[in-house]
Amino acid sequence: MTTVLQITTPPLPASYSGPSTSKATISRPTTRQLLPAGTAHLQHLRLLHHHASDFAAHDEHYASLEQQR
Amino acid sequence: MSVPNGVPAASADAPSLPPVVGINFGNSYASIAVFTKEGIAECIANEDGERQIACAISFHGEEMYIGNQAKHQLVKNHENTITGFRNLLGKKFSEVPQTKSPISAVVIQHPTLPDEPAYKVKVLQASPSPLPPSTATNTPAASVAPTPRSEPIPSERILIVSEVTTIFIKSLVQSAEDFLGTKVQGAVITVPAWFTQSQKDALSKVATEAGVNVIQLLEENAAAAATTTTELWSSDLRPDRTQLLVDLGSSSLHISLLSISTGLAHVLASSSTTDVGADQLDDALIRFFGADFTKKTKVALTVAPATDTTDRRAEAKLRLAIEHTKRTISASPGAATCSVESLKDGFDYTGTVNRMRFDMLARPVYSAVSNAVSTLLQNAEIDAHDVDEIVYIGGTPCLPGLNDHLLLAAGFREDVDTPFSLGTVVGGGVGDPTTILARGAASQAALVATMPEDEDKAELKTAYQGVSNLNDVAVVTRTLGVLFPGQVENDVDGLGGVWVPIVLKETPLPARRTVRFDVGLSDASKKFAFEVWEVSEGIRVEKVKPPKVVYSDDEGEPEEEEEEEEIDVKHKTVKKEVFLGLVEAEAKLGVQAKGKGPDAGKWTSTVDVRLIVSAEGSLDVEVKEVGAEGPVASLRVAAS
Ligand SMILES: Nc1ncnc2c1ncn2[C@@H]1O[C@H](COP(=O)(O)OP(=O)(O)OP(=O)(O)O)[C@@H](O)[C@H]1O
Ligand SMILES: [Mg+2]
Repeated sequence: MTTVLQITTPPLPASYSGPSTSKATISRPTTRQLLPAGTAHLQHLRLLHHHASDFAAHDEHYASLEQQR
Repeated sequence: MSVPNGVPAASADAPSLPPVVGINFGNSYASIAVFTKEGIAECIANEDGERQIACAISFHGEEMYIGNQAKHQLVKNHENTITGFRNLLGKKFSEVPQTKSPISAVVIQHPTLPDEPAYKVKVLQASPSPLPPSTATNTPAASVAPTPRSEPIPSERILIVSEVTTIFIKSLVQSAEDFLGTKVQGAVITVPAWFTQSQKDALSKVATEAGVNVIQLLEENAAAAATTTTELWSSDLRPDRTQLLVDLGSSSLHISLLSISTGLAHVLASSSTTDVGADQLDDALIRFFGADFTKKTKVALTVAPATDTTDRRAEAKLRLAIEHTKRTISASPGAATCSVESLKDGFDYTGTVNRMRFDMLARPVYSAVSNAVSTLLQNAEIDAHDVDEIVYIGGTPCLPGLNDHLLLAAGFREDVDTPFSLGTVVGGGVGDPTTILARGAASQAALVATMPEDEDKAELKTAYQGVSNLNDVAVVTRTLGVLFPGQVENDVDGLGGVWVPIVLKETPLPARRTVRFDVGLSDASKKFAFEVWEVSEGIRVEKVKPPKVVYSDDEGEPEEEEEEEEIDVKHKTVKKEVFLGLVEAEAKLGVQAKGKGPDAGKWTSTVDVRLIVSAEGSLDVEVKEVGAEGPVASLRVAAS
């Protein structure tokens, strides 16, 4: 799913030089409890436990299911 | 339907949904939803035409009444009318508070079962039917007149809470079966978030005894989420949003703050109280009409609380009558009536209340709700400004006055989405607060019932039984996005470019989000670049003088010049926290705007920027030009 935004970014200034690259990582994730309902929840369970969190494998599985219909 | 992470959901118009039912089992009212032929979960009316079915059972002579008919027995037969049993399920007698002036059958200690709450009601037991007339020929002819049916015998019946609940659940399922014309194969039943395991066990047992296959006992929050994350709810709402649920019932208030991420929901904070409920509003309304009755008839009447039997009956009659009054106030802006035949001493009563007066009477309840909401937000350290949507649940939030009061008192954004702003409350709209839980339960019932019989069905189903850790999920603690360096007007946050948030704080992992927009290019170079950042968000409060109000009406002199009070205007702020990397690319499909507009001659290209965050916290960023083959550039940030 793609979210379409009605924006146009400014062109890159000729003088631009980015911040010096750091070896940073994102902040450590924390844990929550999902409410056990809805299609998205079931898809999430499948993604995790059937496709080992691999979006591509998950997509492929559903694409083939769609074709079987 | 909101689709998680870009995966197609099973289509809703599957050939035939199994006959399953969603039951919202409140303490005061229940409702049932099933799937219509159109594949939509809808609340149905029972045989009395009621969609909100009173949780009441009454015994009168040989009759047993269930639902709203039973509630009417509260006037003359309250000793034999049982209400409020849902909250007693799975409890011991010693845990049940004794009510001082019960308006329905009292809870007693069961005569033999230890520490077991029960009800004692008077019934008439049908006497054994008379023997059929003898057909033997070798006996002297008896009288041909039929044996008179002997009188039913007055007796007492003791019912424990689970028996009462079994009778009630059975009747709900029967209504669903009458509607569907077939046997119900399973049900999802809602439970309050505060139900303990022993209460849930008791409910499961009761449902089984009622012959119901329980697919899932669903927490009310989850049932609401199941309804509000479907396409039908609103296709205009952002798939990632912070949602406040306000559930105001007869005798309780539940509020929860949820994070909704493309259909996945979790609770950020919640609170429950039994100190606030529509019952208080009802008392105020009853006193108002009672006083009006006395004014009109000169007949003394003391209600809510009433002290003698005649006043008590009058109060019970008013309590039934104001159901109509409240619904009228909810449904239309005009005044609403309250009519009772023979309210007291043979005098009929008809009175009216307009919305303004009604809201005045209801104000203590409205304020209690907004205070509870403010406290919840404060404790969760979330600004009202950050709430994107308010969802109402239960009967009382049908009242527009509550919404008006809450928005102002708790200081929500002017553009916060509510079913009132979306126009989905009235006329059986999808936002109707009285239908949300049952519909969510029905959707969930259909979802689980149609799960393919594959390898992992049994394992996945444990997530619905609350016995596995499948619902534990990692979430990002800060928002991730991309910053396009360059000149921007009004760069109040001093970011030095255009900020595009992509994976919002509290998004469950793994997450995949793609955003599409135009990047600006220059005449000389088709190069573009963006920085990937983790940011923290906040609120900046600006004091502004409100615009001068010009009074054009001729209602006398303008008031003396008042000191203009400054008002707070809130803005969201973004602060860069962690730089995660730079992505540089060369656009191949840049286009130059033609014509004479302000953008004429400018070069742009449309791109998709995709972020994938793994459950461990690694990040993959990829940018593609729309229409081009393969990614233009990418970046990988390993987990810590
Ligand atoms: N359209 C309406 N307008 C105003 N009030 C309504 C409307 N419909 C129902 N109510 C009121 O809502 C209340 C019932 O709410 P609800 O169905 O949420 O109860 P509940 O969840 O069983 O309550 P609790 O568990 O707190 O006792 C009753 O006071 C009823 O009069
Ligand atoms: Mg409720």
